Amino acid sequence: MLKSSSTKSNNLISDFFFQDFKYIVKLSIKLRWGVIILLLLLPLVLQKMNLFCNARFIYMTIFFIVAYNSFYTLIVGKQEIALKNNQFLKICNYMGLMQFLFDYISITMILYFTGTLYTSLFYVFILHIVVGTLFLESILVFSMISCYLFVYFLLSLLQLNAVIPYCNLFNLENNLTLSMIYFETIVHGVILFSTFYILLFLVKKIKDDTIRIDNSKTELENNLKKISDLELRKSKFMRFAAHQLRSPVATVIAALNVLCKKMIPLQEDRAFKLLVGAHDKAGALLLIINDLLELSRIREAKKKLMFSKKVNLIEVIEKIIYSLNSKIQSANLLIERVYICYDAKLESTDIFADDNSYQKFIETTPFLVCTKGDESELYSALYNIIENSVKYSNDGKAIKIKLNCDNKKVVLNISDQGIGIDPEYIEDIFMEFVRSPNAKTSINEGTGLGLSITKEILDIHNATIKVTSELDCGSEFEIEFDQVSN
Amino acid sequence: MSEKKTILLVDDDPIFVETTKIVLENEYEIMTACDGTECIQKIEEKKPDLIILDVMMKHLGEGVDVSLKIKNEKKTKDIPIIMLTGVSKTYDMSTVADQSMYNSSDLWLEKPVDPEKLLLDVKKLVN
Repeated sequence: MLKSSSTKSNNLISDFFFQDFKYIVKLSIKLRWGVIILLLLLPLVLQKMNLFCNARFIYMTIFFIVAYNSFYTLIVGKQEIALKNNQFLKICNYMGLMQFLFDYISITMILYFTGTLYTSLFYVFILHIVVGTLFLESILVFSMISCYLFVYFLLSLLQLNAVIPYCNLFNLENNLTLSMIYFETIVHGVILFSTFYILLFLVKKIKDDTIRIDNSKTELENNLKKISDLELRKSKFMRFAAHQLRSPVATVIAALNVLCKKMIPLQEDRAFKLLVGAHDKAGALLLIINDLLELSRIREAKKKLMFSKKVNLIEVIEKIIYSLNSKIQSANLLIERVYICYDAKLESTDIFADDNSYQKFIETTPFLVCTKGDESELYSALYNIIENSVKYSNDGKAIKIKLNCDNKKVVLNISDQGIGIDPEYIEDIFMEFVRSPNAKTSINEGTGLGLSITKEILDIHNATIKVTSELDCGSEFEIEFDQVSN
Repeated sequence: MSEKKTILLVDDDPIFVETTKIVLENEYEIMTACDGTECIQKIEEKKPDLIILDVMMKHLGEGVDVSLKIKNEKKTKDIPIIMLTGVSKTYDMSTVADQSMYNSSDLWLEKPVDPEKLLLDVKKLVN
C-alpha cells in the first residue's frame, strides 16, 4: 500500500514537471546555439566598430559552449528514448548528474585557464545547479556544492604554489593569495549553501503542494463518484420501493374493482376469497411500509448514535431463540449453540455447548460476551438472520449458532441447511428489496428489507457481516463485532 | 355456438390471477401459470389464443424474457401478448439487458387494469 502510494506521488511529480522540463531542455539547447552564433559574430562587429576585443576569450567561450551543448544534445536524444519507457525521474537524476559533471569540467577549466572565477561562465554553473534542485535530492545538491568548493580551493592552492602551471589564456589579472583563497572559499560556501538551502526548501514545498493538490483532486473526484453512485442507488431504491408498494395496491384495487362493480355475478365463496386476498395484500403492504420506516429511522439515526451501553450478545441470541421457539418446534428444527468465551484478565476460556443447560452456564460462567451498542437494535438485526434461517430451513434440519470471542473481536456464525441463496443474487442480498427467487416461491412472505435493516444496524455498531451460501444446501452468515471487556 | 377462445394468464400473484380469471372466464377459457417455465409448458400443452403476462415475477424482467421467447418461436410467434406491468413499461424495460424487443408484445397495460378495459382489449386482440 505504502509502496503504491509512493509510486503514485512520483508519477504526480513527473506528470507535473514533465512538460515544463522537456520544454526547458529543448529551449536551452536552442538558446545555446543562438549564443554561439552571436559570439561568433561579436569579434567582427567589435572590429568594425573599432572597439577592444579579446578574441581569444570569446573563442574559448565558444569552444566551451559548443562542447557542452553537443554533449547535452546527445544526452537529450537518449532521454527521449528512455522517456518512452516511462523512466522520467531516473532520467531527471541522470540529466542532473551529467549537467553537474559538465559544470565541474567547465569550472575546473575556467579556473585552470583563467585563474579566477570572475567570468560570466561561473553564473552559468550557478544557473545549472538551480535547475538541478528541481530534480535532484538535496543531499546530492549539497554534495555537489561541497565538491565544487573543494575543487576551487585545491586548484587555487596548487596554482598558488606552482604545483600546476598557471595558464592565463584570457589575459585576465591574477590576484591569487592564500588569504584570498580562504576568503573566497568561505564566502562562496556560505552564499551557495544558504541560497540552495532556501531554494531546495521552496522546491520541496512546491512539490509537496502539488502532490497535496493532486491528492485532494483525486479525493474530490472519488467523493463525486461516490455521491453520484449514491444518487443512482437512491433513485434505484425509490423505483424498487414504488414497485413493491404498487404491486399489492394494484392487487387490492383489482380485487375491489371486481367486487364493487358487480359486473360479474360472483359466488359467495369466491367473493370471500378475493376479500381475504385483498386483506392479506393490505397486510403485506403494511409490513413493507413498516420496514421502510424502520430502515429510514435507522439511517437517519446513523450519525447521532454514540453507544456507551454494553450488550451481552449471548443474552440477545437466547432471547431470539426463545421468541422463535414455537416456529422452531413446529418445523422440528434443531438449534445447536456453541459459545466460546475468553477472558483476557483471567486468561481462561469457558465453553458452552448444547449438552449443558444454558441457564446453568449463565449462572456459573464469569464471562459475558459483550459489544457496545443498543440491545433492541441488535436484537432486531440478529432476529432477522435467525428468523430467516428458521423460515427457510427444511423440517428436521439443524441451525448452528456459534459465538467465538477473543479479547478484541466477537465472531458470530449462523448457519442453516435451508434453501440457500441463488448465486446471482448473493452479492446484492443486503440491498433493499433484493430477494433470492427461490425465497419468493417459499410459502413464507417477506418484504425484502430484513437483511437491509440488519446490515444498517450492524453498520452503526461497527460490525461487519458476510454471507456464503449454496443453493439448496444452506447459508452461513458471519458477523464480527468489537469485543468489550466485562 | 363457437368454441371459447383460450387465454393463458401468467402471474405469480394468486389473487391477481383469480381476479383476472373472474373478469375473463365467462367469455374465455382460462389457463394459468405462475412463472415463465410453467407458461412455456402450458403453451406446449395447448396453444392459447392470447397470453396475459406479468412482467415481474420471480426474476426481474422475467415476463419480458418469456415474451421474447414466445415471439421468437415459429409455432408461437403469432400469439398476441398483453404485458401487465406493476410500475410502467419504461421502468420494466430498464430492468432487462436487451431493450431491442420493445415490440415483442402487442400491448402493455399497467396494473390495476379496469375490468371493462381489459375485456375490450382482450376482445380486440383475440379477434
